[in-house]
Amino acid sequence: MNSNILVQAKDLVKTFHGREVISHCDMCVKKGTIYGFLGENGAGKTTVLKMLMGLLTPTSGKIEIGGGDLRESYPSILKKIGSIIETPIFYEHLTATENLALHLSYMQLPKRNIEESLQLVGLHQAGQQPVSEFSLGMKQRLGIARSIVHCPTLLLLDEPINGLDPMGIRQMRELFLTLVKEKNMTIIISSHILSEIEQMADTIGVITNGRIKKEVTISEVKAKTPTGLEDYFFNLMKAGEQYV
Amino acid sequence: MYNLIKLELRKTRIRPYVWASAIIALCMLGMLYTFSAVSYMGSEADAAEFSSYYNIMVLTNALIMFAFSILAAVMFTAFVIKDYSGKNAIMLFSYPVKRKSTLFAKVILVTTFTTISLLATTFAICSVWGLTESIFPLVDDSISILLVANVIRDALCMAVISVGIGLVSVWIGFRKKSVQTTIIAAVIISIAPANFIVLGTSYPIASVGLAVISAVAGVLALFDLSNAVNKMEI
Repeated sequence: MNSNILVQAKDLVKTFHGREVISHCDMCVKKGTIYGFLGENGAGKTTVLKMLMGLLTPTSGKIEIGGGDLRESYPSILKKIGSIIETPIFYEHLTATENLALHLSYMQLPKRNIEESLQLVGLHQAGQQPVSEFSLGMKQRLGIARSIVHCPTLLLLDEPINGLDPMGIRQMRELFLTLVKEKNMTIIISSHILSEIEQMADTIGVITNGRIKKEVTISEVKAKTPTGLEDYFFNLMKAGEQYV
Repeated sequence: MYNLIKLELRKTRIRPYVWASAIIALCMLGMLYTFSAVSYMGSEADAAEFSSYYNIMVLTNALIMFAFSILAAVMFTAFVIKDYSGKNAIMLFSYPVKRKSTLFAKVILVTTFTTISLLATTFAICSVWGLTESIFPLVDDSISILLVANVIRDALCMAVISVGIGLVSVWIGFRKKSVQTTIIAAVIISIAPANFIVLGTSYPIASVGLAVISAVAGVLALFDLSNAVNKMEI
């Protein structure tokens, strides 16, 4: 495996009750980049992300993270992965700080970076509030804080900006770009807000009916469709793989 | 394992279960005095079943076992069923900890709590009751070393039976990740041993036999449950 590549999925297949939901899916994510994972509802984005987390076992195929087979290095590899899969949940009777401290304890890591993580997501003043008093947007921010507090190498973010106000969306975009630039994190982010993905991502992967139809760089997208990612995406959905 | 148990205690409030145990203890104390009152006020025929301290303790033990079986099942729903359902499971499985280790930590915590609280309840109510009996006896019997030894033996057996029933109930409820199924299973499963214990007042070995059966059933249930957790997909 190329040392420049952090995540490589080869020929992934996943079946549920005899139905193939992920069909011979290949994915390649370079280190220190943001991979925008796009697709319609039910295309298989969350399923692929869950397989990358080890929450689902592929029916066949291989996943390599950091050069090592995910199955062989599981569960210790999870120390290097931060994630938001579906809506994050917390222990509501605990404060934000206590939730992050608990997370670090489970990660078998010292209690560091809690204040910094809360600061980065704009929750530094709410650290001592019980999570039961948080709004949806605050919980989403706390979920992001939890995904980065242990300084992971890889972030898997499934629609992380859901529920955020416009200011929050901008803050998170800037945060993700900073994490990649300054901490050399690699981020795989799925979102339906194509304008945000366009401003962040280095590479786009489009999944349809359980198969990654296309992996292109954002510069290739702009060269092909100067009007932007949204038009590229719709054209790709209509024309299929022939849209090159 | 110790660290995992500490983490379980941090994330789940244990105080409601402490209160529940205290309430069970008070109710059982009430039952003890009720049975003693039957012995004191009842006719010869009525008082036959309640004529000795041991018989009264056997009846009370059956109720204690029933109550703590339900409590164990309720605790297992909080620590196991809820934690391995839906988004809770996503969070739990995102940690670099072996799934079986996390499950065993939860089971050890519930088992320890149930055992300690059942033994503490038995000790507390026997102490209070024994004290009042020594001052104003309601039952025409005497407290002996043999009686104390039998009560301790039966209390240990009840603890094992309660935990075993709790484990089997959560194993049943885990199929559908259902809190209601777990608790109803505990209620239904507890009825048979409770009746068996009461009927076996002449056969003290009945409690020991039941404890062995419960322990084996509980271990088998735990073994299957840990395999199910290990293979879980979410």
